[in-house]
Amino acid sequence: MQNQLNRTKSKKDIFLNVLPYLIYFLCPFIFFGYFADYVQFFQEKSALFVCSTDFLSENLNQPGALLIYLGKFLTSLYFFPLAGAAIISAVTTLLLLTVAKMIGNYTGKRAFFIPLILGGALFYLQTDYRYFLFNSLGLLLQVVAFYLHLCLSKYTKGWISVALSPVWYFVSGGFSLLFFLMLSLGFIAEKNRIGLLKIFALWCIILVTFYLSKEYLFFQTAQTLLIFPYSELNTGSQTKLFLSVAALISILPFIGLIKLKIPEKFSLSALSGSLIFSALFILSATAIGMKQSDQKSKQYFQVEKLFYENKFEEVITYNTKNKTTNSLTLFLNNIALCETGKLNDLLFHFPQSADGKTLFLKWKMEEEVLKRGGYFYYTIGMINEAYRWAFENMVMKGHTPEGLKMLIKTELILGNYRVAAKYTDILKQTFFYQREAEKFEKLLFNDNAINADSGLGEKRKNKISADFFAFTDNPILNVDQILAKDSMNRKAFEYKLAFMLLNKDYKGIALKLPRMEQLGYTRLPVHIEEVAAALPSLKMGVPEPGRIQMNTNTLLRWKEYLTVFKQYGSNAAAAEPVLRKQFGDTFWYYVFYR
Amino acid sequence: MKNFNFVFILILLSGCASKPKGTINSTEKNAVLEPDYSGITIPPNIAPLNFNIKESGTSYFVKFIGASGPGIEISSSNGTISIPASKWHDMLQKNSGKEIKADIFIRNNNDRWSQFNSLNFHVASEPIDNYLYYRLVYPGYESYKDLSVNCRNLENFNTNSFIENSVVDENCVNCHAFNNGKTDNFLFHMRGSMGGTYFYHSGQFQKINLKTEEMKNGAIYPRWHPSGKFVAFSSNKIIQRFHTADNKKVEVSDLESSLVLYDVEKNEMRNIEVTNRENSMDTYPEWSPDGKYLYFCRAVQIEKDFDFRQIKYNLCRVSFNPDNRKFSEVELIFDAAQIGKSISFPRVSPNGRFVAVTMADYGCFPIWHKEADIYSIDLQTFAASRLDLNSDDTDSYHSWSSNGKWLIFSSRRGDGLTTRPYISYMDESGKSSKPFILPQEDPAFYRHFLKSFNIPEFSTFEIDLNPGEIRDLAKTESKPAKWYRQ
Repeated sequence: MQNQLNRTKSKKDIFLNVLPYLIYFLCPFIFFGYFADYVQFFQEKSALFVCSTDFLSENLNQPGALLIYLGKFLTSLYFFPLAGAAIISAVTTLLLLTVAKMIGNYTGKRAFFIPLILGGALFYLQTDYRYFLFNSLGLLLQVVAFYLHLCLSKYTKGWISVALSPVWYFVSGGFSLLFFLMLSLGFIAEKNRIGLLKIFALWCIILVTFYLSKEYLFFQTAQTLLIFPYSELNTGSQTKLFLSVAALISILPFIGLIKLKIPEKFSLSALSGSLIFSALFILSATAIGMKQSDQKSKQYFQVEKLFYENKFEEVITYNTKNKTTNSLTLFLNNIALCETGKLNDLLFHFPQSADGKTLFLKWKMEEEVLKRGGYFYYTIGMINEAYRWAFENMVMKGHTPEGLKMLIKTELILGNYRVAAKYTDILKQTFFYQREAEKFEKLLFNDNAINADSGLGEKRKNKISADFFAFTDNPILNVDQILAKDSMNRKAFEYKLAFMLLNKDYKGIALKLPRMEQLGYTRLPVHIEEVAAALPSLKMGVPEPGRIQMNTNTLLRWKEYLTVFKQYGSNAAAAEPVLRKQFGDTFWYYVFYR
Repeated sequence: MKNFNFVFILILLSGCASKPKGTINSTEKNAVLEPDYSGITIPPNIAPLNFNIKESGTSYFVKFIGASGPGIEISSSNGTISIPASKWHDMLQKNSGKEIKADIFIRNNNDRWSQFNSLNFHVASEPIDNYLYYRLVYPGYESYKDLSVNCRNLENFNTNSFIENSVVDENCVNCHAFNNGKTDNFLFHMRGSMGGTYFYHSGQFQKINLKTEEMKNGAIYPRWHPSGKFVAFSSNKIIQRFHTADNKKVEVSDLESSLVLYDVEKNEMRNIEVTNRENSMDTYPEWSPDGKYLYFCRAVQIEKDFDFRQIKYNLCRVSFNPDNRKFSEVELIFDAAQIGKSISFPRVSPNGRFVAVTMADYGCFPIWHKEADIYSIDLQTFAASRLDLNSDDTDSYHSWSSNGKWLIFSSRRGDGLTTRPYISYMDESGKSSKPFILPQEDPAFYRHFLKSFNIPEFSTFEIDLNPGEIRDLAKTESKPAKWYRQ
């Protein structure tokens, strides 16, 4: 009976010990696994882990680069969102567990409060999709290193940690300063002259290492050597919070020494402590999750995911169901519309920007623009330009899965097989893109295979052949140039029409009508028909669109539109709600109200 | 000890096992090699020419045999032939001016050895300069991250970067130039927040702002006067545009250009006053080895609406008097426009006999022109001849070794995108031999490497500077150059 009681007690103890960490693991796991997997998607697509010695050696070029390498390795597993959620959660949980152990080591009591604070802060930081894993990993490594130091100091008296400080600096870069601070505080806590000697030795070694790194080994500026790989950008501009977390971690040995005398009536038993702090974490995680869950980003990255998979119909369907005003989402949606031949049928089913920024992106040396802008050129057959955007992004930001695929595809289309082979070799050395690389590999040096390929063959066929210089600041001029030299480029023509629609250029569209039959249209796109229907009312003649018949339904709808408008005494403001309801997705409504 | 002996015997046996034995089938075929080093002429002090045998097999064996011995035998299980450096140099020294052949054997799956045609090369008696400086840059458009200027020891594989833009706030570093690779005079430009021209002159390292108020455009392409007292620059207004359909990706054109002279000791800039300066675009200065002539490329000044394909540069020269810094009338050396070509990068051979130039169909930036080739112009007859070293792809920026026997140049022949340094032997009559790619320790290096080797320049000495010193100087204010007033 007593044994059974003991066993039950022991099981309960284990459960109580594990419960908070289970919660620390599960909360982020559920959030990132089921509500915010766009975080993993964005980060996985932002870098490419290549299994090669070249890639490793590139990542050994400065202190802290190894941490980035490790971060990239783990981030590559984000290919599977649940694996990503597990990694984020595991890193957080391990960090909190180590912190609790460390504090327990100093105080002899179970720590609840600091892990809760750190757990909440780390969870908050990670909910920003721009906060990269290596930051948490950097913090984790420092805490683990210090905990190991505590465990081993019985035998080594801390000298090993002092001696290995240069190695640790090389591995974790600027993050190692946290470890060195913890170490120093730990030595202070020893309260003897040996402790002070160790601090002196530690900082002498660090200073010498730093000096050698700056002047003879890596040559970077002092600032870079001090903080790399930390950057404001890679923490999602959450500098204050991140630095607060780092500061809290660095003074953990000091906190561990504070002996608060808590009155008996406020002291918590292990059971109530575990339960209360677990509940508190669930509450705070829920609050943070609700506050930080970014629907706009979620929606955008879902569209980007479908877009990368060439699921253009699904992109349109998704955006139809989930209305957005995000210009990048609309930019991708318009490409999907063009790729499916619906650009001028459904253009006004989605919000559009009159200046054309939902149709094309202007050149900007920024990753967010560079990595996406080239897809417009890819669609209209400006393959050189699509390549340029992808290449420039590669130079600025390194390889990314989609960037590399774009480089391969464009070089294959252009017939530059030797270069395409180089890029394909890189893609082959990744974990999750080998199959695609093998598919590309089969197309190398094989014109017939490319011509027969459903995606690349069509792009090669539509590739512009008459050369001109790209207009980087004014994308529509490129479309004009293409059409001036190759009147049969239907996708460029669609974009030209769309731009004219956005600019309410009825006259221009009217002049284009006779060309449509020649371009293979068997019917007029809906919005073009809407223009054509309205032209007589504007006292403009309708040019003959060849054998293409106007849809009588469109003419009737135009009459209906005018009738509603007149019903409200031709008062635009008064008629707007009704017109929006019935005709909000028409060119007519756009002309009147946008 | 017994164990050691056993292991040693095993190693010996395994070594023997990968040597050809039994009946050897002669294929009379050339083995596919990466890189291709067949039929080339090499310097007696070049690093080992490691290569891969790209033929299927289970074992590979190569036996180098020099006319004056000694031989080297190398076995390989994967086709990578890595030559021991000391044996290689010993073999080259003993065979200077003679032939070396390499017999190639491959064992197939049936354990049978086949012999392929031997690889033959000639060892010249004239050494190559010890060092090669080049810039590593992505063959891209506008951005320039992770850019470095490196120094490679040509006798081995040691490479050091002496300028890295990651330590200078990602500034662009370009146009490194030596004074004939002989003296410790060199310079390079930096563009960006730490911009300026960095001079290393007589042991001093300085950062100068060469653009004075009087200058319309900045100083760009430099060439040192052999005295080390002057540097001639072209001062250019450049535009860069991108082809949308042509296979040449970038088109760089000058809108304006003229020549200026920098007096290093006086820190003074002045125009190089040459005939018809106002109506011409003068660029790419180059001094004759005796410093008496300044060569340059000249095209007619373009109008506002110009056709870039019609810009053709000819080669001209003026004589120079260093005492009064005066230049003579312009002399047309080679009328490239007349043959539908355009000249760039004139480089006079150290003996002053030849000027090697790049000729393309138009313009002055041929590095993206597939048709760009290197020509030699005989300065006695002023006749130009296309060098045998050229390929179907871009062959461009070139540099002479200090003894005038070796020419290094950039070529895109490998993949059509990245430029690689190729070295060719130049004989007395100005003829080139089959070029070979700069050897690397890993013979597959070029297959994976995505950056271009840009502006390869020979040098006989290693610059005693590191990126840290350049970083420190970069932080300082640049010293402004003065404008010469009469």
